[in-house]
Amino acid sequence: MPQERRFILLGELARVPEACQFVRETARQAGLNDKQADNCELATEEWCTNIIEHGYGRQGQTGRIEIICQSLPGAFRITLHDDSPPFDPTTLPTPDRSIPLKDRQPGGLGWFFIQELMDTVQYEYRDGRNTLIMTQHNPNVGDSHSAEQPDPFPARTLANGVRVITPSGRIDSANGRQLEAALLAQLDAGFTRLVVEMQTVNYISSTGLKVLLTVMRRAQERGGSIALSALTRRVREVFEMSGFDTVFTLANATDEAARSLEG
Amino acid sequence: MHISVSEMRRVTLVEVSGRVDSPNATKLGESLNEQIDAGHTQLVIDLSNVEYISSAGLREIVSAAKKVRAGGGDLRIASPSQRVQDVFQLAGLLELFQIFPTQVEAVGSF
Repeated sequence: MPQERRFILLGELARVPEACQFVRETARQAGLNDKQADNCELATEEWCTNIIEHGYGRQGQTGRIEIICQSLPGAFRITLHDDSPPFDPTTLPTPDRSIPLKDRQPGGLGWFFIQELMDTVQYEYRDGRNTLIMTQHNPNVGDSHSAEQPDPFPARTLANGVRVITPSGRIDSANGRQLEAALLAQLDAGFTRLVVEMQTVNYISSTGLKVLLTVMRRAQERGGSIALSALTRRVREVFEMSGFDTVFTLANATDEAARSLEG
Repeated sequence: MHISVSEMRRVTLVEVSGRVDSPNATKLGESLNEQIDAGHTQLVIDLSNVEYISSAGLREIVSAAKKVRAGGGDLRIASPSQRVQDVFQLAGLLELFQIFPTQVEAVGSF
C-alpha cells in the first residue's frame, strides 16, 4: 500500500463520516487491528467535529480539513490540518468522569476521547494552521517484510480454466480457516474447478481434511469440484487412513488432476 | 441512522440503528425530547443495531437521561454492541446507566 494517503474534508458535518471511513479503511490496510481502526475512526470524528463546530463554526465559516494518513515503522500516523482560528485543545478541562449523571455536562468529551483512544497526540499551531498529529502503534505497520509477505496460497489459472492453488507447510487447525477462506474466495471469483497442489504440504490434520471437504461441497453446489495433486507420501497416507482417498481425486500430476475436472 | 419509536404500556421504546455521529446526533436528541415533552419519562433506547456512536451521540443520550430523571423517570439502555459499550465506558457512563443485554429485559425493568 502507499505509505501516505490524503483526504480533504470540506468543513461541513455531513461529510465527516466520509473522512471517518477513509481513516478507518486506511488504518486497516496499514496493518492496524479492528479495535485500533475503530479508535482512529472515532478520534477523527471527534477532532473534525470540534474544528467544524468550534473552529470554523464560531466564525460562521466553512473551511477545509486536510487529513494525511501515514504508515511509519510500527505506527500509523494521522495528521489533520485546518485553517480555522487557533484552537488549542490542551487548555480544555478534563471531564470528571466520577461525578453523578445529574451534575454532568453532556458535552466536552471529544478531546478527552482523542487522548484516551490514541497512543500519542500532539497539537501545534504553526504557519497559521491548527495541526493535530496522532498515532496508533502496531508492529505490523510500515514493516516492509509484513507488507510484502508472500501470499500463503499462491494461485494460477491453467489453459483449461482450472485454478491451481499451492499451499505449503502444514494444513491444520492453525491455518485451516485461512485456507478455507482462500479457496472459497476462488469459488466466489468464479473459479469452480480447483486443484490443490500439495507438493510442498508436509502435514495435513483432520481439520485440513474437513476444510477440503467443505470446499468440495461448495464447489459441487456450483457445478464444479476440487481435485488434489502431487501429494507427498506422508500426506497421501493420511488420506488413505481416513478413507478420504475415495472422496477426492488424488492425482500425481497437476495436469492430470485438472483434466479430471473437465467435462 | 434510523430511529423508530414505539409506545408500550409503561415504557417508550426508542430503537436506533446505523451510525450515531456528529451530523445526525441532534436528530436522536430531537426524537428523545419529543417523547419527554409528551410526558413520557420511562424510556428504553435499544442500541443493538447501532454500529458506531461518538461523543455527539452520548451527549444527546446524557441530556435526555438528565431530563427524565429530574422528572422521576429513567432512561435505560438495551443491548449495546461491544464497540458501543466501549464508548460508554470511555466516557465513564457505564455505571451511570442501567444497561440490559436484551430489549425485553430493559422494557421489563420498569
